[in-house]
Amino acid sequence: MRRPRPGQVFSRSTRLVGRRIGDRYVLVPVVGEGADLDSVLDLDRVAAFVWDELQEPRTGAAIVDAIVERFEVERERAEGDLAFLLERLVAANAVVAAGERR
Amino acid sequence: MAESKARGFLRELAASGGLPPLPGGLAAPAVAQAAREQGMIGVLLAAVERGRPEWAAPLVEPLASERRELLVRTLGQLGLAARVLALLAARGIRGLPLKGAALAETAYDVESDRPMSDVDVLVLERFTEALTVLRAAGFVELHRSVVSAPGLFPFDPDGVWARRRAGRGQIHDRPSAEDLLLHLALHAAFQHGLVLSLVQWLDFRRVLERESIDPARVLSLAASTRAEAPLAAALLVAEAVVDAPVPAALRPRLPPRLRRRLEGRLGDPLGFVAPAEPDVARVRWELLAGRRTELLWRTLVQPETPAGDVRLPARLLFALGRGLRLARGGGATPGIAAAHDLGEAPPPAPGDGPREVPFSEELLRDCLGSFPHVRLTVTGRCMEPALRHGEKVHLVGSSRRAPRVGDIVLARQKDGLRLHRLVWGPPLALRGSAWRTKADRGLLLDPPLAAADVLASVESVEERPGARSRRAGRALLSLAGGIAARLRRARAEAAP
Repeated sequence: MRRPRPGQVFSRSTRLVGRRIGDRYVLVPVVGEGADLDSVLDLDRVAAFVWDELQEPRTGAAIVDAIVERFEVERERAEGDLAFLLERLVAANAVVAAGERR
Repeated sequence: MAESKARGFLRELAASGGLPPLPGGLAAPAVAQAAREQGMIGVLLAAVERGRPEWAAPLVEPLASERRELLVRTLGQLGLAARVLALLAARGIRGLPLKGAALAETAYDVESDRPMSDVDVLVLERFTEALTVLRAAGFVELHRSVVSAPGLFPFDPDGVWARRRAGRGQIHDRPSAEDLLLHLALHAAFQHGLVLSLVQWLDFRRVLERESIDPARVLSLAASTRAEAPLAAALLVAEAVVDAPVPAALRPRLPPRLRRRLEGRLGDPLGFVAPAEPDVARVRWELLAGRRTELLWRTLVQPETPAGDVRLPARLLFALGRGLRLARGGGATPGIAAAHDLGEAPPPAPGDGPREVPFSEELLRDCLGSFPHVRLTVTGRCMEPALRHGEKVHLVGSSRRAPRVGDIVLARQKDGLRLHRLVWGPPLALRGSAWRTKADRGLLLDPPLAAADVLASVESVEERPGARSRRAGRALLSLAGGIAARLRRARAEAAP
């Protein structure tokens, strides 16, 4: 898998929908017109925040800014964690990576 | 024959890391099917992408699609394991992942290369409290030991915890490589009688190849856990099946009888690969040479009954019943125990393996309300041949399609969600009266339920477009059978 870059623009895939169920947040794959409950992705607090941020296409750097502000973590750690998460969300077709924004 | 050839092909792939030549008479779809069954989809795809043989070209796209689905599923499972461990940690209870959950992020290139049917977590202390915490949060199954007979291979929880290593992804802590190897060996040898899927054998190879192992420490741990024989047996077989690189310094002694028996079978490594039939009882007997009384005691007399009673008389009484059931060669009552589906675990029984954490009913209800249908995989065989184990069904919520007699419905029973046939309900039942469901292969009717407990009905079965989801005649026959079985039971109970 190619590592996501901060300048890349990311957006939600239309193949998954996010559902907040009680205090949990899950991504449910959409197959045809239905939901596939065999492959539900369970998001933790930070991943759910990133998913919320992706309501509109955003660059990796913009999401890092938001994480640093919200969770008060060091930028380097936020970048590492986001790259790890996006890598997996892209591989799972939950997030689409587009070109670079300069 | 093709299945066996395909397994042999995949075994060579697991052993060498490269694609062997495709044997004559073996078609690409058979290889893909075997890879699915052996948990080898990701490993096969990676090898195909490296080698690009012509015969495998039609497999690339479907395998890639399956790997994506597996990745979603595996990441979700790792997330669940992480949540379980976090819940326990919040109560000061130490726990570590086991097997796939401990290996997927570290021993494999991509998490989807190590698919899991369930999530395994080892609790190192305060087991009953841990169980209560997780049950309250909607989880069902934990391990107090690596095998189903706690105490037979006693491990030191503080030592396991002190030796733990940092994880790489969602899992923060995982057992040391030495502990992992020992856990894998105990699971393979004692729990499964040395018959595993290929990816489970591949675990041994990956741990030995990719982790830094201290053989002296493994041997010392095996000695203190009294697990030298399971370790030796599992490593011997892993070497034969996947060419696991077992260091010369890591070859504990096997009981002579077991060594003779295993060496006679090593020439046919597929005999150790599922679906080969394991002789679990015999393997355990030979592994525990010199400790057989203890084996019987610890297998039958559990640390507590399923009801949580830790008093010795209650445990002995339960052990007696369990012994009688085993002696009769069966498990629980036919028909009743068969009635489970859809990931909601049946009541735990000592000796059972781990089960998957169930998804929440709330999520199911939400999706049924939001989508025209939801897709789920059937587990269990109580509705065969109408629904087969592993088939994917499309369910439609009751608000979109009113259930009728003959439908296969998803209903909330006292012990969880069940996918059974509606044998009494609309249009026959009076409004407001109870409905009844029954498994097609069950003997008895399920307990009465209210209309609101029926969440959805099966609309179709994937890859079987001709399958009829509503069979009113079948339902009425099933209802009659259930009533007859009930009468027979009542007569038997009334007899002097």
